[in-house]
Amino acid sequence: MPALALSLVILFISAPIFWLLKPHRSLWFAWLGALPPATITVWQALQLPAIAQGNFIAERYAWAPTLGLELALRLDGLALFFGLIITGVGACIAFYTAYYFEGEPRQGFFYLVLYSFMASMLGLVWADDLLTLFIFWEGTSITSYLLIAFKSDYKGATEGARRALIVTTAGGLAMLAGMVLLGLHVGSFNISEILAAPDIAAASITPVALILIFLGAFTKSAQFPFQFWLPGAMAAPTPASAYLHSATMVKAGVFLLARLHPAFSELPLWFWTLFLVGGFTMALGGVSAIRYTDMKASLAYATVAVLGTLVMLLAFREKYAYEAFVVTVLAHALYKAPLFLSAGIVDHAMGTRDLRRLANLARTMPLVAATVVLAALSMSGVLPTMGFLAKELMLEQGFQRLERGDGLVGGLMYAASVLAALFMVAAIATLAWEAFFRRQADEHPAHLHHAPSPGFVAPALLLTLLGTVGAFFAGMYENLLLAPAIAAISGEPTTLRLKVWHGLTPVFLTSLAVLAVGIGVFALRNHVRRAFAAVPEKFSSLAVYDAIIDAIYHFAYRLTTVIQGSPMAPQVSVTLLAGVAVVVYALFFSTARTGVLLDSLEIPSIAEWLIFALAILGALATVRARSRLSAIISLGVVGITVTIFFIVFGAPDLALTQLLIEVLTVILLVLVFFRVRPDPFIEDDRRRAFRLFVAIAMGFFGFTVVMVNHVTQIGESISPYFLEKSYSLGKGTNVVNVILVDFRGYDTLGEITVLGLAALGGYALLRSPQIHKLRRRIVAARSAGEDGAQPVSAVKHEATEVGHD
Amino acid sequence: MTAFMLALLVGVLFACGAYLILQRGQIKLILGLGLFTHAVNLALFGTSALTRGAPPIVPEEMEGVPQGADVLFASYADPLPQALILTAIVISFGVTAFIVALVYRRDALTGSDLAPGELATVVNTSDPFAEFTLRMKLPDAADDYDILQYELDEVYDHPEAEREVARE
Repeated sequence: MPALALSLVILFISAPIFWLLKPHRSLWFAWLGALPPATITVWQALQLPAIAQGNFIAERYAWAPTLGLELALRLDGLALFFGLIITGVGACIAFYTAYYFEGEPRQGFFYLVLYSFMASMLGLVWADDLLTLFIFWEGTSITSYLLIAFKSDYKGATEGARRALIVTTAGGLAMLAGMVLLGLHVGSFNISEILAAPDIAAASITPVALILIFLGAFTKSAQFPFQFWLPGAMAAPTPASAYLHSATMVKAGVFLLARLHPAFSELPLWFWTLFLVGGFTMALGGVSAIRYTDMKASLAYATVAVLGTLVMLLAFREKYAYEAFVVTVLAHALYKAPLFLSAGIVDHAMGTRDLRRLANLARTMPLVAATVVLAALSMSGVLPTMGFLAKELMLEQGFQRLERGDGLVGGLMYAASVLAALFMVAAIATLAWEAFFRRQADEHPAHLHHAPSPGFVAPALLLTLLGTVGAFFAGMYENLLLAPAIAAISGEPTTLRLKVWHGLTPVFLTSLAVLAVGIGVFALRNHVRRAFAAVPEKFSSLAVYDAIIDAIYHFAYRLTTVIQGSPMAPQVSVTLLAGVAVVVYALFFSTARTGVLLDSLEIPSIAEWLIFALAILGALATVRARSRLSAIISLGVVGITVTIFFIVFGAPDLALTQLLIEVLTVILLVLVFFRVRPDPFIEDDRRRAFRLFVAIAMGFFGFTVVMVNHVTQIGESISPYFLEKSYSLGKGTNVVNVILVDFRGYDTLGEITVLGLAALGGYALLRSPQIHKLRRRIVAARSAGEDGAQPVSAVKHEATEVGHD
Repeated sequence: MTAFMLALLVGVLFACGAYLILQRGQIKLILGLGLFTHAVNLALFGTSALTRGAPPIVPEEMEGVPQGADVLFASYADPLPQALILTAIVISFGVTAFIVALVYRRDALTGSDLAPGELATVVNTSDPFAEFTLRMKLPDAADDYDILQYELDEVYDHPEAEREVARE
């Protein structure tokens, strides 16, 4: 059974169905909303034993076989690990959404985008083909854009969404280039095959490809210097923030790195890039988190820190790093999502999530307070939680390096981890204390609108409990869930033995010290915040990004001014003379061709001479005409002579069409130009010589093209085919018609499209009453201004009168 | 010989079209494009042999159609350029109609009475088919842009009118 594809289809189909169901009508839709992701979660959980045995499920579907494109899905340990988090957290988010958007008519649209996002994300982690992965990757970019910009009337939301979209898709394009390089080198885009390719790490193309792919992963996972889009994305509705920034979107980059880890991690380039970028991002994000009083912004920077941690851990090829990686991913999803969800509940209940205005919420929302405290314990790594396990393993990795005498790497890692960890302790302690326990708010205390119902809190509480209590039962799933993921990252099978209690090791003592210092920073939080506020804005990546975008706009403006700023005549001259130059070049530097004289050298009859002469005279008259009417008539004369020409030389269809069109054109021109005021005409004698030059050059161009075409021929004509097959294949005797509607039917379709577009455009142009009205008003207002004495009411009156003509 | 005449005609059409397009004025642009269209169509027509009075209409019976390029071209005009030209004629009409709509729109938007300063005085708006070779010298101040400029900004930024629209 094609279960993988079926799961994706279920999500993609649920999306529009939910939209049509109008789920805002009842809270019962919360259960229905959680159903599709929950089902897929259960199905994935059932696959755990089989996957843990080292099996995998693979599905391949032909997509565009001629291009070598296929939709390849593969469920192995890593894909299953991430897939479970995506759908598991996704089910909770879907449930929560119904409460968050209670009674909001756009709730259905949110579900539509949420499910599409979920499906893209799931496809991304299940993909076994670089191009399949890329498609789903861009799918997450686009759907996340829609999620972030959900409050489309709020400028911060659209700006944040656009920034996220530009940064992540720019990175995505770089990544695509890297993937194509890799795929072409190996000769396959299949990820399993690329990872298994011999000596792929040593290939000359690898460093370039890797750097490009790093760009994609780092932009998506908000690594320095691209981290600025993530806090801006906090303008999203809370369910979206919780989902995007705890479990899914930002993990995509990390996932990609983990996916490529087995093949490339031995390279120094891999190690140092990931180690330095990840480590720096971790320290930067961790330290920044405490600065913000917006709960979601603070959590966003903490997320940046965790993403840095994950990237840094992927630099290593050692046991503790692997274990720390998988435990951190799991722990982060299980504490960050509830924290975000709680922030959303507070926002919903109090009308604000600004810490300065909140205090003592534990009394009114005990369940939310419990959730936040438990999640905060996990986030700060207090003893019995999964967060503790994650931090312990990471510090252990640094400590191992130190013990082996690798002071540089170990020391840096230790220092960065400790720095980030203690500030994160301080940040989350600040958040929990200020919002839920202190007695008095700083300013304008917010008041409770309505207390959250238990169903609203339930998803957050459930996730938190999994993340805290879950650590005790690590033995039950460590070899089912975590070990297969590690096996996929490291490339070799492994077994796990996680211990919550290691004894009084140096690492444990460091952990305690981190907590203690973190509480100390928490006590001094107001001084820390003031110190941060003193840092000038221009050093932030955001300022640099904005400057770059500004520079691009400015450059576009300048470029447009240079190449299109001049009047039409010079621009057209450039185009026309370029055409002439090509003909001149072809005349003198042409390659040999077969000379075929198509002309019969027969002297034309008198009547034909007359046709030519009349056409030439008509053309000259059009130029020399002294009034617009005579010019239009002269053009009509040219058209009619061309019609006669077509009759003489065996083209009745052309003659009919030309006659019809010519008459229509003349009528159209006369009708319109009767109403349009004439142009003020100024004969500029300086330009006349130049115009004549261009005109003569164009005359030479036309003459040469026809003559050359007539005496030489490249290749065989395909016309005999049409003549011979017209009746047998097209069932028509008029070959021109058969070509148009049968042999080249798509050309005619294109022609119809052009006509339709022109008609639509013309229609839109001819009727927009607003501007007509506006203009008449201005005219009226101006003439009133000139007269100087008319009151405004008179202007209005005049305007309405003019409006009736 | 016919081909030579055709080439000459195409050359003249191109030259006249270019000369018109390079002049100022909406009507001249449209007329110039019209001449260009004829020129291109005829140039296309000239890519095949010019066969007199033999339209490409084949008999219904299979046996009636001669085989072989030479025989075919002797008895029928080449259908392929004709099919291309037919498409070109129709499309060029669509484009012309669109440009005419643009011109009309431009006139409705900017109108000669909104032309900047001195220009308005040289425009004779009473006669729609007034001669367009008014030999008038512009004052030095009017540069190339002034005539072609769309005065949209002025239209939209007029505070009086904007308030009026907002009031509705």
